[in-house]
Amino acid sequence: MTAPTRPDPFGVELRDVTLSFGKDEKHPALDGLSLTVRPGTITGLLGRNGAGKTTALSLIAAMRRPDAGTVLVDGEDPFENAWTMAGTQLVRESGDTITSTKVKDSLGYYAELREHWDADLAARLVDLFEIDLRKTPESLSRGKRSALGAVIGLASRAPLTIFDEVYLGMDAPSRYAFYDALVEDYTEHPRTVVLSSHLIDEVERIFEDVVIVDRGRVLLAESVESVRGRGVSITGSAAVVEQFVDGHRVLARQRLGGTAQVTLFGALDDAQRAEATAAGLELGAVPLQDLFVHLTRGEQP
Amino acid sequence: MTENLAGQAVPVPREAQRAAARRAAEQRSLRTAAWSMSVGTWQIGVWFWAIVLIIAGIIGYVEVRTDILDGSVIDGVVSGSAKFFLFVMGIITPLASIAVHVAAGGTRRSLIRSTWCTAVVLGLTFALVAAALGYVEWLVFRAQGWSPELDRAQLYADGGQVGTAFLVQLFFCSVYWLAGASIGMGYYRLGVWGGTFAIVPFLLPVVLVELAFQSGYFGRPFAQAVGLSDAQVLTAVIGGLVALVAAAFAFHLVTRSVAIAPVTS
Repeated sequence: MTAPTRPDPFGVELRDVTLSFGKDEKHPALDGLSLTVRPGTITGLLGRNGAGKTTALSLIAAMRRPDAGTVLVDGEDPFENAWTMAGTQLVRESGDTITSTKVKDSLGYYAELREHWDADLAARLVDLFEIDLRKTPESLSRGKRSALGAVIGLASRAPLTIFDEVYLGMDAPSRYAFYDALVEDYTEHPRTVVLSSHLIDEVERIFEDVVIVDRGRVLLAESVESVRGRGVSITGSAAVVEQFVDGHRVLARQRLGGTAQVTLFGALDDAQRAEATAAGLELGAVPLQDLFVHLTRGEQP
Repeated sequence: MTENLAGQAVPVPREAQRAAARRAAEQRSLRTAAWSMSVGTWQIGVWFWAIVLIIAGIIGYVEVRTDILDGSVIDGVVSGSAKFFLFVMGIITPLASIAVHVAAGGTRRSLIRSTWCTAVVLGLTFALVAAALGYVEWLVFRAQGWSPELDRAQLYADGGQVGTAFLVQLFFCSVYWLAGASIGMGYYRLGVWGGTFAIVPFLLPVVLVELAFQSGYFGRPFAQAVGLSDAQVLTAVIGGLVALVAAAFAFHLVTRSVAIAPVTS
């Protein structure tokens, strides 16, 4: 008996996907959304509340069907598809568990169904997050339930693993322990990871690609480097900075005494960079959060 | 990779690999869900049997002491209530399983099939226990010189007809479980109002199996009310099979494309 061969990481493609809840067709949850997730990457899915992130992820995980459009996971329609469903793990907030029985029963269920389930990793993470296996999921605190979801997502070793706001209720040490465990396991066992989060500052360091969703549509889908290149931060003497940024689109301003830091939307050309350097200004990368706030405030790039 | 007759490695086509993986995944999820639902129901079922046996014992003791014992206690109190217990568990169990099942990579299709399998497993095991208890009671009654006859059962006269008693309980338990499962899933899919309206069609298999077997508190008066004559085993089994298929199909219809809401607690 040999261990089952691990499938290659799954890619995802959504083309012109539309979905409305109930009869509210004027405000669809997804409004012609198209996006691609490259196999073998960690992709951040960002968006404001109600932007359509959770709905898009539930379509990818075959939790529901779209009203129109195409959803492809590893090149196949995922709905009731035993191949793609067995290879996709969606963790919604605290994870889907059997709430009325012990935590170990839910983990046992996942272990039975998930062909590549890593019981050792699950046990280590349960210890790390101090989850009591004898309790029922509904008796755990919000943070522990979220940690349980993180355990399920990581131990599943699914070719496509999706974490939808799995950090809710987790304290900072637990969140960082989760991020570290995710990166470590991803490095050892490459797969496709999609991470939806509002804590952009915390997670942007682990993203390779970023998709920003707003009002059911994709505003931006690029590599993190490319996204960061869409803006620049300028730090220096306040007067010099203000003079330099005049005429540019300013995303954010910070001032401390005589020093200012301004975030601009749009890349600087070589001449502008040389000018800034000559003026004693320091150029830096733009925090993803600033770009996200700018893009989802109603303005378009 | 596989090996040919010469021992050389031959690549397995991608589609063949995926087809094999699909089959394996379906079988794994069917087996896991059926086992989980059957064991989960039996874990509570043990308490059910213990409690109804205690109640039957108390009733029997009182009837003997007051000299009003006029037939089987087991048949009414124990066997008669098993189907209602399974009806309630049928509402709860697949509903509690579907979100974790799909989140763990199982299809709705495998959950539907596992629910069908569970219906048969629970029907067989509960019927076996009910028939065995009825038989033990029949032996005790005979030994004590008490009348073991049943006043409500119609297909069998007493617990000594253990095969027929088993058959009756098998169909009742399986159909009631599936009808409960359809009703629970109806609420999950259609919401409060839609689920309530759907109760009537989902109960039709229950009506059919009660009419076919004409046993217990409801079946016989019900059948007499609609003018049916005494049941025969063959026609009862045919009616039971139709009810079973109808209940299974109803559960398939309501579950096959249901949207999976997140588990909240």
